[in-house]
Amino acid sequence: MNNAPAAERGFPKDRDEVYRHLVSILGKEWVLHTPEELIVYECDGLTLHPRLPDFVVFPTSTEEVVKIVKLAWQYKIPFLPRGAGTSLSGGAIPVEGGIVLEFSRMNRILSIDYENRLAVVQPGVVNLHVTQAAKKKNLYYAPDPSSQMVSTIGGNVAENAGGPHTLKYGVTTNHVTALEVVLPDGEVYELGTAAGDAVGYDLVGSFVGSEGTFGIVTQITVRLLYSPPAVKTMLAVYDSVVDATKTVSGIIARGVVPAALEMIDRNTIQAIEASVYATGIPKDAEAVLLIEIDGLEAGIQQQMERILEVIKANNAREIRVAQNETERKKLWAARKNAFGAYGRISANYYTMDGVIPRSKLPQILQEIDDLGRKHGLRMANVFHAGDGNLHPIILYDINQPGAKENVLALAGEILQRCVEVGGALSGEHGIGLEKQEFMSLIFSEADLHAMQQLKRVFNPENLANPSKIFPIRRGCRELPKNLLESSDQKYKAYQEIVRF
Amino acid sequence: MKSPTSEIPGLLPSSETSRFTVDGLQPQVAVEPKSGEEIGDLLRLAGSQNWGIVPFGAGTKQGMGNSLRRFDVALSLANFNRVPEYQPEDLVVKVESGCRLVDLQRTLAPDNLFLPIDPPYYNESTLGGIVASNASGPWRFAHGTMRDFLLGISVVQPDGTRTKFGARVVKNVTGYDMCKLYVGSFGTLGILTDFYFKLKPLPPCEKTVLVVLKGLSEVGLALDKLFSSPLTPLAVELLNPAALAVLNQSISLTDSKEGYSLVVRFGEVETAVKWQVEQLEKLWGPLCAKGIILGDIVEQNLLWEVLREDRPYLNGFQGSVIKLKINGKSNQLVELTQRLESFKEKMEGQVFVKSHAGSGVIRAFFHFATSPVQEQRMVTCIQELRSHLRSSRGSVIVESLPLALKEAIDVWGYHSKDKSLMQRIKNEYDPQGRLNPGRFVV
Repeated sequence: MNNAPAAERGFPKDRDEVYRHLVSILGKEWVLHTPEELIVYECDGLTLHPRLPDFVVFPTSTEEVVKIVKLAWQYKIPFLPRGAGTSLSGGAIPVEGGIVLEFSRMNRILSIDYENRLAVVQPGVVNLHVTQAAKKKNLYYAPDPSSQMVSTIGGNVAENAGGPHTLKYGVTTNHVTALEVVLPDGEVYELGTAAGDAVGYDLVGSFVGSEGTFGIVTQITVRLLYSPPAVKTMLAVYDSVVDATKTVSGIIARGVVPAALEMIDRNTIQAIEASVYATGIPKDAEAVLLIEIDGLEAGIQQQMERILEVIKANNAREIRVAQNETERKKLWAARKNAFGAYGRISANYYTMDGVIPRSKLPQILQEIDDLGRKHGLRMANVFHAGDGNLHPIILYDINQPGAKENVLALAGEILQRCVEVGGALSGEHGIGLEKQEFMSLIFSEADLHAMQQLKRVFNPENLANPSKIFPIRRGCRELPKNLLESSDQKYKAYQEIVRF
Repeated sequence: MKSPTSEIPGLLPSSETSRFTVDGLQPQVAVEPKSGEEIGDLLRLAGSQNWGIVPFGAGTKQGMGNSLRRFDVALSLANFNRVPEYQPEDLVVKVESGCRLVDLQRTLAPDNLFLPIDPPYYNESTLGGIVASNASGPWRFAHGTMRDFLLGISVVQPDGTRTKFGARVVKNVTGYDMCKLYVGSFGTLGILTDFYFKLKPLPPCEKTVLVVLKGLSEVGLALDKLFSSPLTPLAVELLNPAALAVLNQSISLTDSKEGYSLVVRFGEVETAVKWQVEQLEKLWGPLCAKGIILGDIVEQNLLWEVLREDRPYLNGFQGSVIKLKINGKSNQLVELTQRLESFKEKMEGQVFVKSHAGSGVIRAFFHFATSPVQEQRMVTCIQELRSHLRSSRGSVIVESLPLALKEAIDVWGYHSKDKSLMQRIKNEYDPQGRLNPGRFVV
């Protein structure tokens, strides 16, 4: 496979020529190329490793995407798709420069088939808009990443996005039945089907979660579900993290699968309660569980009673049950605004995404706490406890000398422990640029090679979102050095631009 | 076979090879390796000897697919029959591929857990075979298929390298979702040795409702009503009159000789099940000629066994039998059933149709007199059906057919553009085509 960086492949010597071609495809207005315009696209939700693209283009149709991708293929220029740019793993960062295809103009819901409970959408459609469009017939799109008000279905497909309610309903891949894709050679393929099972290898399943490294998704068919008529949301406050985690495994072990089961730790509670998002959770509480169940009116009371029994048996000091939608929103507010609240107590924070077997929660939460202390860094945790998907948050100040190195060292140790107890590096944020050097913690050379083989099938010239997912350095047990290089060492082209 | 057989790991005595017959072909040797290492050794040896290898679980689906181009070694996974890791509180289990589904379910049941998959050959099938063939049954309506449960997998690659993907966690985006690649790959990309599966709690209470409706228009109405209601059944099956008659032979539930039957299963907390059965009576009452509610779990299981199995519809008939799996959109169900039944006259035979309503998957069994004329008619029917389904990207797979017909019928019938990508995948992982040669779509 051609793993050479773009510069070595002869780009950007044809830069002006490529620009003229792009303009002839889309018109001047829809091709960004000056540093001032491009700066917005130098990073996504991962701000540690910015890199400017060479061009940002705004296609409106599959045909235009084909033309752009064929151009990239001809000149061997890297390219990648970008939705709302909310990736937390650097999925939309153009590490090798090249062309970013921005999908805000391909944002139409093409059809909703109420009879078969399907929606066909363009990649730039915002996640929540699918649900809003299907609402009148009581249908909705289940995967609900926290970014769902802005993040796009195309991005969700690339990252196989999750969310709080995936505990019961599954992640993006469980809800996508068919894709239209443009592969790096410019060929358009329809993968999968909305008619029963697809024949042959599961190409849709392979494509979802490939983080833009296989090609560009231009159309997505998703399944819609009937909205559960009854929802109950409750919040339980604990004096001990162990009691809270025991409640989590207790609920799962009793055979109840809640729609969502989220945990908020002490540092997060304090951040929330000190902010404008305060909801009146006691500040000295050690942990809070937010539990939501849904289903039929006829069964919900029985489900709730089972859960309340487990909560009480595990010494919760306070239980609140939302009596109406306003109260439900208030309970959720603490969870949803946690990230906003961190900004108040720390200059910077770094969100992790390790996932572990649920039974290891008490042990690993304790260890994360200890590791944070060892590195002299404050930690907070607000996460999907029901699926064992942790979001340890490292609070730091980038202006402290050595802060970044310290944060990344701590992150590495946490991920190592997650893997050692049978877990994995990422539950829903993806590997991208952020965790590629940690891949050898979990996969052997042979495993990684087999994954690269699949990449080669779709993306033989390594043009689609290059330098992602796979480790670039060998023997990367030690700290990933490339993540430590400051960004302006990495590319010196636009040092003069003021970044804010 | 050129190589001295003493080098072959796990070699079975030659008297055993006849157990591994596929489409009338016997392998030159059968092996039963004990470890992934031995499988790796075998595959490396196979590479140097240019052998064709067929992985074997219980063998219940070995009749599926095209005829093998080569069959030198049958690779039995009978030694891979353990449940090496099981933590009930994680709702995750690790199982080896030669373990039977029914044995796994017995391990899980004391903890009120199960793997919610109920394919035909439920009592014999191994998990390896179910994953490889992406087999499914009535529960798919509520729970989905293997792709929704497989969390991790160990694969011995065709070149003998051992690899593993995924982990024992329920949510994971660490690298590509390789598990999906192996579900339904029919043993053509590697030898699958173990799996991590996501489990679900057994429903605390279950009830089954069977109704008989006069005609297909009532079926259409009934399904519309059900699917636009908040009811959450576990399974919804449709039987045509012929299939209902077979059901009645096995367990006499109704004396109805005519009419279509819908069978619905609910499973949840008791209050929710009770309410749903009442609601269904209200929704469907005016449409039904007859309705039965089963509460007894033994009785229900008996009924669902006949519903999910192929055997009652395949065996005990004179002449030839063909089984089709038809993939359509769920709102095509009534129209497709009608179309399938119309073949009855053309075929001068019988057509049994049972469908997973709401999932778009139909299973049809054709019985006809063995004659070249009839066989040609059958081929024409399948072609007609395929061209009818093309615009909705539906498909027809011939899952079971008389051996003599295998050359005349394209069993997969898949010719979309993405087939070239499948070909590339096969060439990438198994460039010499050692595994299940010629069997699959590509």
